[in-house]
Order: sequence, then structure tokens, then C-alpha cells
Amino acid sequence: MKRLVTIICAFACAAAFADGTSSVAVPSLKVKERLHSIEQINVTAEKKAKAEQPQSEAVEALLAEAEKLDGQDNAQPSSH
Amino acid sequence: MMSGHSWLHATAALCVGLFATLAHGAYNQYPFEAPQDYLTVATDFTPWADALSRHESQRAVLFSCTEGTKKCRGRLRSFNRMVTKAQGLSVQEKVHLVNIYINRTNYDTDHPKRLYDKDGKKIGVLRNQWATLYEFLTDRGDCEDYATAKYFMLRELGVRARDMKVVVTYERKLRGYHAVLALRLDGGAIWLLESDNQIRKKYHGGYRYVYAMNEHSVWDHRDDY
Repeated sequence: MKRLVTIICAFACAAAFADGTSSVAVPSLKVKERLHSIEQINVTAEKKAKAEQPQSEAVEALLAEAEKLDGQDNAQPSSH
Repeated sequence: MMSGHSWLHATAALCVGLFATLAHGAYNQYPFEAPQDYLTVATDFTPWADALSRHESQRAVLFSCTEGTKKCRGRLRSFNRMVTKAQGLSVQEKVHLVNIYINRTNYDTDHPKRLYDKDGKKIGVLRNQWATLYEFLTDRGDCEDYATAKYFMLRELGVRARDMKVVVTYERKLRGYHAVLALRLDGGAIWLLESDNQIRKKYHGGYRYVYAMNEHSVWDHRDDY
């Protein structure tokens, strides 16, 4: 009896983990419809920037460095 | 029959549960853990999958602006410096840094975005699609591009994909669709990174969540489809 139960469980586990994909998985029709409706959404709403909150010293230092570097590259004449 | 104390405990538990439900609704927390909203794998959502693919192909040129480079396109120089030096920051510091840094990029709406190949050569133009980090840093963008730029930059700083989602919401005040980056921190806190410099940490009011994605999956939060 124990052996029979073990064999049945082994078959059940094998069936559960078996890769039965003999064909390429494609989205169902409902998923495609939902994706299509999502694609039609125009994401453009703009928010006005608020004042930046004070950050840690390390973060503030990096942001200051970034601002300086951005200024340098924008000030350089174009190479084209 | 329940004793007097049992009734008291049951009533207290009911009150706590009711309060928690109401409070959750009031805070409108983004449902980061929402397996029922899972839609499909990211590769099925074509415009997003295209952006992911382009991002991968552009990573080399994204990091091509090194110390000795004379002239760098857009904000690539500062980006490289940020990524290099921010690796040692705490997760929360990285999040704050990226939010402000990306938000400092000039906003540009309805602008045909130039597409670039892996060598930084222009290959076409995007209209109303998802820009990559390279395209955003060199050519600006609008609200969904801020969210995706933050996503890609935080990935470079070691934040896991499964802890982030680019979330499209409907904003009642703006009467339009807007995108934010949702971040799940250790401990379960959910932060929403906004393009107006705010990070919504507890109160997520005013949003109607529409859909979300990361590099693995897409979620559909609409319940009236």
C-alpha cells in the first residue's frame, strides 16, 4: 500500500513539473485585448516641480557634482 | 457560548480590522503585492519590450562617457559619475538621489524622441512610446520617461527588478494619465517616486492605478474592464 501511494505521488509530482509545452505559449485573447487597450493610453500628464527637500550630505554632494558636470557639457561648443 | 472576555476580544479585533480597512482606503496605498492583477510577461507588451531591448543594446554607449571623454552627449557624464559614486549609499539615499537627479532633466512632451542603436547612432524616431535611459538622458522626455529612467538607473545601483514597478495612474487633479515609479523597500514600505520631486511614502491619495510593469511582468489594475 505504501509503495502504491509512493508511486502515485511520484506520478503526480512528475505531471505537475513536467514541461508539457510542445508549442510556443502565446497571450490569450483577453490578455491581447487588455494589452491593446493599455497601449492606447496616452501618458502625458505633467506635474509642476516642487522644491527639492534637503538630503544627506553625501546625496547633496553628489547632486552638486552632477549639476557642475551638466553645466560643463552644456557649455562646451558642439563638435558637429 | 463565549465568555465576556472573549466577546470583548472579538469586538476589539473587529474594530481594529475595520479601522485598518478604512485607513488603507484613505491612504490608497499602491497594491504592490497584487497577484490577482498579474496580466502577462513583459515581452508581450510590445512597446515596453522594445524599450527594454533598446536599453540593453544601448548600455555600452550609456557608459561610454568616461573621465577622459572630451564631449559627452546630454547628461551622460553626470550619469556615469552618479552611478560610480553612489554605489556605497544606502538604498534610501540612492532612491532620493535618483529621484532628484532624474527630475532635474528638462521636461519635454510630445517630442519625437530619437532612437539610437548600440553605438549611439540615430536609427529612427519614437512618438509617444517608452524611452530608454540613454534616450532620456540625451533627449529629455515626459512623465513616463522620468519613471522609466528612475527604474533603469536604480537597477544600475543594485535595486532589484522585483522591488520596482513603473506604474501608470489616472490623476484626478491633472485629469490625465501620469506615471510614477513604485518602490518596495525592506520592511514592506511602498514609496511612489514622483516627477514633482515628492516621494509619497505613506499617503498615496489621488491616484487611480491603471497598470504597471517591470522588466519581467505586466499588471492590469483596472477592475471595470
